[in-house]
Amino acid sequence: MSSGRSSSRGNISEDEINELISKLQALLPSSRRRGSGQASTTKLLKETCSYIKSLHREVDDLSDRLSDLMSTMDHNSPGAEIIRSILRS
Amino acid sequence: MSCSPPCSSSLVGGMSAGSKKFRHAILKNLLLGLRKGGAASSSRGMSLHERRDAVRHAADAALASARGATPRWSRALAAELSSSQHGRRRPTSWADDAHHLVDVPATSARPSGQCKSSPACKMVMAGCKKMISRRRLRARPKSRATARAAGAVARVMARRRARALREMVPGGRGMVDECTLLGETLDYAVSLKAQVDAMQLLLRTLQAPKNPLLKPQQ
Repeated sequence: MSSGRSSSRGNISEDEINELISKLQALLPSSRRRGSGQASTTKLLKETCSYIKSLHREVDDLSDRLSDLMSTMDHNSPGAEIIRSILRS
Repeated sequence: MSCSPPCSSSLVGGMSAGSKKFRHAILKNLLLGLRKGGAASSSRGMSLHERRDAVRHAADAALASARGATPRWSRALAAELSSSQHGRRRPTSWADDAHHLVDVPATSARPSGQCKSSPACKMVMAGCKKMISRRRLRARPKSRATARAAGAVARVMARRRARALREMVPGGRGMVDECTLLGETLDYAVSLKAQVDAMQLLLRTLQAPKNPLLKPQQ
């Protein structure tokens, strides 16, 4: 079932896997709130999926709002000036 | 913008996913991309839908080029973006820059004749070819540690979860190795968060009303 290709840097140890899992746990907002020690890994992965999905939705929403904003922006607004100055740096 | 050669240095890229510098790089790339994509002008050239797509596209390209070619999802995302480039009105050379930075020629559908000329692109292509031919090797006899680790991951990741993750992470379908998938997922999630932060920052900046702090105080 697993592939024949291990990590290109050599073998991934069980420790590294555990480290990845705990990093994921630290990342997820919900598990931080619970402050849990050892969450079920399946649950963790499920939450990771939801988290990524919600981030995707947020990017979509932000794209909408940004495009609305940009379509009404005129060149003399403070926003436009900020953009120009950032692009200059 | 001055015309830039391929692999221009105006695009910021290649740093670690969690840093503040990374967020700023996304922001900068985003602004560059928006401007070149024409979304930043208030001209009536674009429909609302087109503009929204342009913004989304610029945001993803900014993310991929800021993250660089290290993670697999980043390369896959850039490849997706450049192949979707063709149906629509082309922005300008920044898309080619991102393409040169992170292109995976084997998976991208577009003719890469132009690509072969640039030296950095040659490097990427060489690296990718090596990766691809390695994949074609038959399963090597695993060391015990790898087998144990692989078993651990297999226990850990239910099939369904792994499949779901593969669909969410760009290039996930190519990640047969579940260890890789886990690492990529982590990196991708952190990077996505940075993308969201950068976009929120931009939005807040643009929404700022006329602010006394903006007056030059020198």
